[in-house]
Amino acid sequence: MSKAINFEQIEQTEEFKELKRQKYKFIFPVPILFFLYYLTFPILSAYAKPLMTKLVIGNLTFGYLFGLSYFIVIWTLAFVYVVKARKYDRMIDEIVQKYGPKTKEKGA
Amino acid sequence: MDTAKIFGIILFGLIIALTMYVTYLASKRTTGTQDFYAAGRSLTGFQNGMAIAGDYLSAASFLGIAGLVALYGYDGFMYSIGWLMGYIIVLFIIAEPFRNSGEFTVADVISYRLEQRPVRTAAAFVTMGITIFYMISQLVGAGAIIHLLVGIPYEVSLIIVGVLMMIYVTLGGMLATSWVQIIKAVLLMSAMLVMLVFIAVIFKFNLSSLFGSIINGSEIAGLGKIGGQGISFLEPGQLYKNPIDLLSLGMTLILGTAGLSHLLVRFFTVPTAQAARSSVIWGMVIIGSFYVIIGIIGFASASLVGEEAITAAGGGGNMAAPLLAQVLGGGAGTLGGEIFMAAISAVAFATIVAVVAGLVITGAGVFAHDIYTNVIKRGEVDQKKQFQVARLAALLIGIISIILGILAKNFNVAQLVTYSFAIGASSNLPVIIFSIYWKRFNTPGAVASMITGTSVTIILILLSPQILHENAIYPLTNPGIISIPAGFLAAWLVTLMTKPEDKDKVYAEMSVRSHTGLGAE
Repeated sequence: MSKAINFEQIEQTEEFKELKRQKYKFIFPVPILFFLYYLTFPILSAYAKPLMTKLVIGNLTFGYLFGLSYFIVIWTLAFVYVVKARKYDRMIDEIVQKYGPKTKEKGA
Repeated sequence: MDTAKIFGIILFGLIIALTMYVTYLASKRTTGTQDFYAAGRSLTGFQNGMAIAGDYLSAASFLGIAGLVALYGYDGFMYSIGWLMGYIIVLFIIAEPFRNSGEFTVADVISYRLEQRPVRTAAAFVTMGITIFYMISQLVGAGAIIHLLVGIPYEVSLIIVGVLMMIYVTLGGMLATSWVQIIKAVLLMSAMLVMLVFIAVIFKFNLSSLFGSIINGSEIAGLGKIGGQGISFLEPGQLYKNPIDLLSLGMTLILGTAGLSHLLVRFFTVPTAQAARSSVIWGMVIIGSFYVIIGIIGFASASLVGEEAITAAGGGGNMAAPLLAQVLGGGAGTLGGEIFMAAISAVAFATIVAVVAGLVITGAGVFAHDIYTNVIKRGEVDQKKQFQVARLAALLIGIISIILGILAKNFNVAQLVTYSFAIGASSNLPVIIFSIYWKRFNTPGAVASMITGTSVTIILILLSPQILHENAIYPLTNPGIISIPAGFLAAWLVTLMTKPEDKDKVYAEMSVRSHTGLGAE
């Protein structure tokens, strides 16, 4: 099945290179920034205790709310990723249509 | 009291019966290697998302983290957050290309465009290391918890868990394993949601009044005086004294999740990269909810049960959640209280097995698919023989695990599972990322990274306070802060110091396949 696909030709196409460019400028920076944002939590907890223990809403402390913010942020990023990935899916579809094997061979 | 015990046993029996029935159905559909390792790639994204949650959330973490929060407040909560954060890397960088590039095991992806035998062998050892640490932590934790909850001896409960998982895996392969994990995820989340509703009613759907009861103490009709730990309970530093250690643990969790072999192989059970994507999303929704709710359960247990009673029950806080269930159901000695506690215990007992089954099947893949089929026989084994070897491997791993679990009885298991994450982050993650995304990456770089990452991790563990106590040479309990950069650096430096491999053609194939799914199995 794989023999019907010309991988080297596809790799050299402008469409495929564009797909990789689009993907890379999103999928690498976001996790790196998130990683740094995540590491601020233990650092603040260690060196900014008064801030973390400050009551913000009712009896909820800043530290607790800051901790909860990670859940909100990570779920939001997951949603953003899904939206972006749909765009990549469309780019992939075009590449497959144009350079991929003919439909009847696609089988698996 | 007796009614509650009988109820607990009936519930436990029902769960076993249900999972056995699922295994029976799965065994009829498991006829070849693709079924055995990858559930015939028949799962939907949602099903696999639930299975990921069932694979990842152990009953031990349910009981353990609730206990940490209940006893150490803020620090326990801080600890609970890291477990979800690694999924950002799984989702953005790993899941889809990983699904597209592999067949059954992590080594399939890593060795795709590199020298098969050295890379596969190294990758097989890395996965075994991750799986063994994870397995021992699960089994020892399970044995201790079951002993505490149900009162049967440690060794007996280990054998029950071991025999169950061997039946699931050898007969039903990945399909049965997946469904056991799905059932477990549903049970665990339902149990937690029921507890959450009870808690919400007591505190009038107001999180602030739960915290108020901890800071100032309060009086609730029927429950008397509760809470009153004071604001210091919400202050950092009750459990973790060394901020660098905490940083190291944080790094290990966020980078290690994407390197856990037993989690990664779950992506081979879905048909497409899109399904792999949606399974991570569902997994993140369920796992995230779990960690939010477990924090609330922990704080509620601190308030309603209290530190004294939790500590008195033993197990280093492990009883915080079951004791809370008892209070929520009406208190000790009441029928409602005892039934609620028995139900939580039965769910915890019966669901422990799901995580272990996932580990066994991952180990079987390494032995049968990587070592036997591809390294020893160089791929020249027929389907039927491979299938037999895989089942045999699962059986052997099951037996070895039970023995290891019994031998490791007195180990401090709290740390063991984070060691799995450390090996995953410093040995698996660099080679997976580089083999997918870095064209220049070569065989010496991959092997060097896996050897360096794993050996630095293990050496630092051996030099840490866990093993050497006050004579520790390495001051931190977690090796990640050193071993992760070491694994990445070794991959990068050794690749640049050695000759490029003349493999443009295979790289083109892997690159196109991983990004587009063309030619994916």
